[in-house]
Amino acid sequence: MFKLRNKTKQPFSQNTKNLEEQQTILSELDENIKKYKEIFGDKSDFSVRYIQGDSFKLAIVYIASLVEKDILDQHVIKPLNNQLQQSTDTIDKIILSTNKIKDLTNQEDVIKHLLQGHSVILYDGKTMAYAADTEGGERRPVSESTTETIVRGPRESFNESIMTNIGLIRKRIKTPKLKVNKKTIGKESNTSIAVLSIDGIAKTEIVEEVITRIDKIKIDGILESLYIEELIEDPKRYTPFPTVFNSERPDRIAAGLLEGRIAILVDGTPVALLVPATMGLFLTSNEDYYQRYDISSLMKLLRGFCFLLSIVLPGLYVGLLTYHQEMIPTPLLVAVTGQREGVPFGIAIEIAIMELTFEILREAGIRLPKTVGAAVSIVGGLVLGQAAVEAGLVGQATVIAVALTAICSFTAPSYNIAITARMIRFILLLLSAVLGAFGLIFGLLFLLVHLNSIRSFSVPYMSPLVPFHKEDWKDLFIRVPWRYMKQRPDEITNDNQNRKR
Amino acid sequence: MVVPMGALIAIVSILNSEDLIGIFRFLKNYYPLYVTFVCLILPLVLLMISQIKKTREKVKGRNPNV
Amino acid sequence: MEKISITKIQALMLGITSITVTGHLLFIPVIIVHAGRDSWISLLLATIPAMLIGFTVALLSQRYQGYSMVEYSQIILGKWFGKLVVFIFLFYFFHEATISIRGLGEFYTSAVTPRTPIMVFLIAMLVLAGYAVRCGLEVIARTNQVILVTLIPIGILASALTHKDKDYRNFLPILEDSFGPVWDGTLPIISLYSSIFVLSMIFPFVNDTKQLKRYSIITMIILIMMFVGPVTGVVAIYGAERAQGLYFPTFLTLRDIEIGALQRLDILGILLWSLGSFSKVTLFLYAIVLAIAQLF
Repeated sequence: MFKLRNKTKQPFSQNTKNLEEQQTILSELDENIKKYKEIFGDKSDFSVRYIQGDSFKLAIVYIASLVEKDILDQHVIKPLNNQLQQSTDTIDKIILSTNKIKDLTNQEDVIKHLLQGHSVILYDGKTMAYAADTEGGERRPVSESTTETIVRGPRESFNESIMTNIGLIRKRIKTPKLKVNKKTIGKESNTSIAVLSIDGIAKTEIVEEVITRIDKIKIDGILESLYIEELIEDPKRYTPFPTVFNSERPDRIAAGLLEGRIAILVDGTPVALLVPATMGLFLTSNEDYYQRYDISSLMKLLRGFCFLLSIVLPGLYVGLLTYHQEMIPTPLLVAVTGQREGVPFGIAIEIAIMELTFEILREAGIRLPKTVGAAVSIVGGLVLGQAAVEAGLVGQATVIAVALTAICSFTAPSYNIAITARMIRFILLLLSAVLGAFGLIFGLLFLLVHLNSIRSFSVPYMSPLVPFHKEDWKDLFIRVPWRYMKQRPDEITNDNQNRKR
Repeated sequence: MVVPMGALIAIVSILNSEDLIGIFRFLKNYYPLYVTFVCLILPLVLLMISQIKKTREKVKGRNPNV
Repeated sequence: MEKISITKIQALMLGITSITVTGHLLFIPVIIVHAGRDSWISLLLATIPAMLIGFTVALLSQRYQGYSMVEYSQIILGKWFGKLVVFIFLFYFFHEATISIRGLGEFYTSAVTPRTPIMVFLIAMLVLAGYAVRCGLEVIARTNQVILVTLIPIGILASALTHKDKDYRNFLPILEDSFGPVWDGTLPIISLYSSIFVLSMIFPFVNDTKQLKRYSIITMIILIMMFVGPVTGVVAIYGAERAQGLYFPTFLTLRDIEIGALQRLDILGILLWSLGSFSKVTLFLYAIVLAIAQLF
């Protein structure tokens, strides 16, 4: 009975337990250390320091690459030496000044703590050990976000340490209702992750759903939060749209928490996850809330329009010029077709080539060093674009359409949704090249039905657009002043909807 | 179920009439009568029968919560 | 199967889109052919039957809560006779779906892209409808909500922009040929509005049927109002004689819109009818599939 319950709670740590469960700590100190050396390797970063009194012997074991040398010296070795000076006979009680001290009884625990950066103190003749928290190692400081930059607002972004990240959020939401649920995932990597939610604001069913899905994960290692994202997504049907939001800005995550969403932080990456995610979340920038409401409303509208344009523009261009030329005003049509004289390809091929070229340029530019990146953009933008037009390979209007599409796609505040738009753009291009306006409408309708069928953790993806929630529309296309925004999103929070202020 | 029904609709809609003029003639002449019968008269008949049944049960059983 | 629940507004919105769009595309020409310049009187005369059918559907669904048309027909009329009646309804649903999808196909082949074979449009639309039906009623209702919210501003914009071409003297003289043609014109409108009966397959999934009767009567009134604009507009722009000879008069009015350099706003019309026809075909396909599933 007990075993069964244990199994459902922690499905894979059971296996390791079975192997080493009965391995208690040996009373012979030398035997003990020999054993650990066997486990970690004799010539590894596993280190041992001995402290010897008259009638007793101590050993401090630790993994050198994981501990902070200063802490170890100041708070473990120095106090022990002091105690040694006071009484050389015996040490009944170890008094250390580190953060955390734990009593350990079996070998598996010792290994686990060693791997977490603890220093373990072993006695000769005792089957007990103490673990002192000396975790350290090199770590990037909290710095300004480079991927999500804003003009006004907090500059901090997460770093790779989960504790720092939780702290950054705690500093913003100072309430005991902020619940942190820490877990360890990954059979080999033992990555710690934390599920954060605010009690009474987040829906309990969704919190439970998130935790069950995380518990079901079976994987050897988690190196980035995307691993988690893909493993906890709704498995029902395929969608190119991201159903888990990510950000490396603590203020963004804190805002999500206050709306009743649930944050998932992963150790080793600055990117935190936020669920449930809706379409609106991806098209919202945090700066919408840091600038005055009138200007940010306009920006929001502009951004929505640009997002739509970045999906349909190439398709519309091809559809209109190929099938529905009568719909273009005559002077414009004359201008466009006049430039295209002598272009050897059809419009669809032409724009597909240009779009593809642009995608290649972008892909080439991303991973290059910054200095070389500028060269790529010059070669791509100036040389290729200009030369292609002058050589008569593409029309100028096509270059303009492609450039406009590209710039529109850069306005999307979230990189994820911009990628999705890139994929859909090509499908719509193909459809309208084949069927004209009908193809475009067909594609958009398909998209609409698909978007409506997606759910992120039981919240409809298009909410609050549809299902319609009057109060939430205040924060959808525009942003009303804070004094009128009195409610939290309807689908995400059930009770406690009022933002009590 | 969805697929065969969709296919059937496509086939029947092609067989419906030879061209647009045919459809309009069809819509003009007999279709309105047919639809009015099916969707207005029949539901009304249904409603009436249900009402009669309800009243009869009320009278019979003196039980108002039918 | 998880519990489906939609709001009554969503359900009635499905009715509005499906009636308006095929109505504008296919029925307005028929009405005008019959009633000519007195079409608006036909329209007004249809108000009472329209409200009657709205009332009937709502009342039946309220009385047999949670039962669809298929189920309550069998309760009311007994098993075998009920099944027969359901079969008549089913045949009608089928017929209506085929007509509206063919109408869309004909619209495309005759007015937009004449060289594409009609099968392409029919199959593409049905694939789409099938996909939506597979996604379930909630998805259909939500998609339709988006569609309707897009369509109404376009419709209002269109009727506002055509205003300058309208000449209301075209309506005179009123009732020149007495009531005969007006009655003829009323029947197609009544039949068009009667097709809201398809909602009897949807109402069982409505989460709150309180005041359903009132809501559905209001819906019918909204529908009447949505037809006033196009019916009068077509006659006012082209005059009765010319309007009677046109296949897609409402589409042609959109073609004539001019705003500065933008001359032909056909794309708006195409958008309007494609989206609306999609809603309608989806709704009827859903009704057919559900009815067959419940019948056998």
